[in-house]
Amino acid sequence: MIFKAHIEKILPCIADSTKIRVIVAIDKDFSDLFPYLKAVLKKGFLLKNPPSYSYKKDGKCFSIYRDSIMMTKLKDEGEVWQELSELSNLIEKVMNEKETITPDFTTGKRLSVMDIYKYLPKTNCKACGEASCFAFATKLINEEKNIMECTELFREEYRESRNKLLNILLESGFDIPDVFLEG
Amino acid sequence: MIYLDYNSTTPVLPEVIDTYKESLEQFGNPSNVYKIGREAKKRLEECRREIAEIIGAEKDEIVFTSGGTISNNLSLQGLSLAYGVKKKGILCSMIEHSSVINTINALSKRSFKASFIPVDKDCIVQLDALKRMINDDIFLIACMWANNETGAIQPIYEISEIIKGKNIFFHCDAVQVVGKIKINMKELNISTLSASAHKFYGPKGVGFLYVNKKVKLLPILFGGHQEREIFPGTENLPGIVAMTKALSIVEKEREKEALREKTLKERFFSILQSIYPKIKLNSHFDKCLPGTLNVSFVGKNNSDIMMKLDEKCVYVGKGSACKTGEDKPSHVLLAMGLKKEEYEGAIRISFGRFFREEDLDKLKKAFVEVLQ
Repeated sequence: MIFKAHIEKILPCIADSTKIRVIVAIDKDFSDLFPYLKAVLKKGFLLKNPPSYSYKKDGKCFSIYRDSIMMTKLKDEGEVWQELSELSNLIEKVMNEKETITPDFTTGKRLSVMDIYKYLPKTNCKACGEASCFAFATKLINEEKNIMECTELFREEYRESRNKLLNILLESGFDIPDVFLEG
Repeated sequence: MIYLDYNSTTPVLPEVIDTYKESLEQFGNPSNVYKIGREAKKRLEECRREIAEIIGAEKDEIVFTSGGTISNNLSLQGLSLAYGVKKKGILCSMIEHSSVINTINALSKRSFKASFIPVDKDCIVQLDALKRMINDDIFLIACMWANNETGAIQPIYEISEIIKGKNIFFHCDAVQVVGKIKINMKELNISTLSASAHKFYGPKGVGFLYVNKKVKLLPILFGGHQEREIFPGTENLPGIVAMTKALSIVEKEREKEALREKTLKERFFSILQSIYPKIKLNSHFDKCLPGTLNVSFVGKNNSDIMMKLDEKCVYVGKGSACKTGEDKPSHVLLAMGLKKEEYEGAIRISFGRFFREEDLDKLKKAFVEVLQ
């Protein structure tokens, strides 16, 4: 790995008690690379003070700070080291290709459940298997559901809100069916 | 090389290549009235008759085109222009090929009102939902015969029944089906149906569109009077002749080949289960194209698997060939409600005529090494 790391804390994950969250101390400051990482991953959020870059991957959340990395929703310590190794490879790749990458300095928007809910049909039709549209929005933000499971949204009357929501989700790094994105 | 991406494209049969080469020498323009033109026209019409017979249609219901995407465009836009004047509603399955969905999206920007029909976990259109979505404004339904990514066969006969007497036109993208499943247009209430030669061992750049004789498509392309003015321009006679040859060959051997591919598919799935127990089958064996196998290697990344197989000269698909190269999730697998780790590990393996049983061992070895 291109940085030295040691696990400072292992705690139960707040959202899922079967998973863990960890705080890992690192010996190098990569904050100048955060906009480049964001450009490469095409998702996530930048904060200026203190500098940090947060993103989601495979349902797991990562936040990189100047001297530490916080990771949530991991299975065990083995997965922590596997993810750290992958992150190290990514950072190394970005360092090597920095000159060819256009950095993304935009902050990015951290979506809330309400940001999603307001564009859903609000019919509570249960076709997605959830009791309400709000419950669906919560599952969607946790990447436990995908937007196409809201079948009502793909009806003509919701075309405008569907388009807005697809764009919002895309900008925030969620997987969307891009074939339904209209210009 | 082990090629297992027949849903993307197929190698041209040697007999078809011979026919194509021979036909290139017949250079006459079918629109000319002198002898070599008349001969070319005769051959063109013989091809039309032969294809019509194979799919149970009438000769004049076959329009030669340049392939699946253009056929879908000619049909969906042509039907909308012709019949979408008072009525504006279109229903389209969520799992259509991008050439259908993007055309529907374009129509939505031109005052048409499109809704998308959901599918179940086996990638089959939900008929109850379809029935609920039909209203007095609907004039057009688009539903593919079989899905290109999962191979799931759609309830085309049931949809035909549902729309009977409702003055609704039905476009069916049959690109994955022609040459694989028996087609008899007389049994179906389908207005237009598209096909592409390179999916059934013919050349690329040629296909056909079935247009029911009672249906009128308004043209979206303008030129001469060829192909009922639906697809104007000098006909691609060598391509059409080669396509006809390919279809006549695969049709003769269709049932035998389907059984062979289904057996291979089921055997290979058992092998994959033994190699990777966390595998998930994404297409129901009994409601699926015989040679198509879509599986998720849960916890693996499909791009990684594909690249590693590529290094071993084993070629499989990830989804629609028109989308590979873009590392984006498949709208088909999303519509089926697959979880993230399932669709990220999804691979499409599609068997075809040149895959031999003796290659199964080599294939197994390649997957064992890649999935380690």
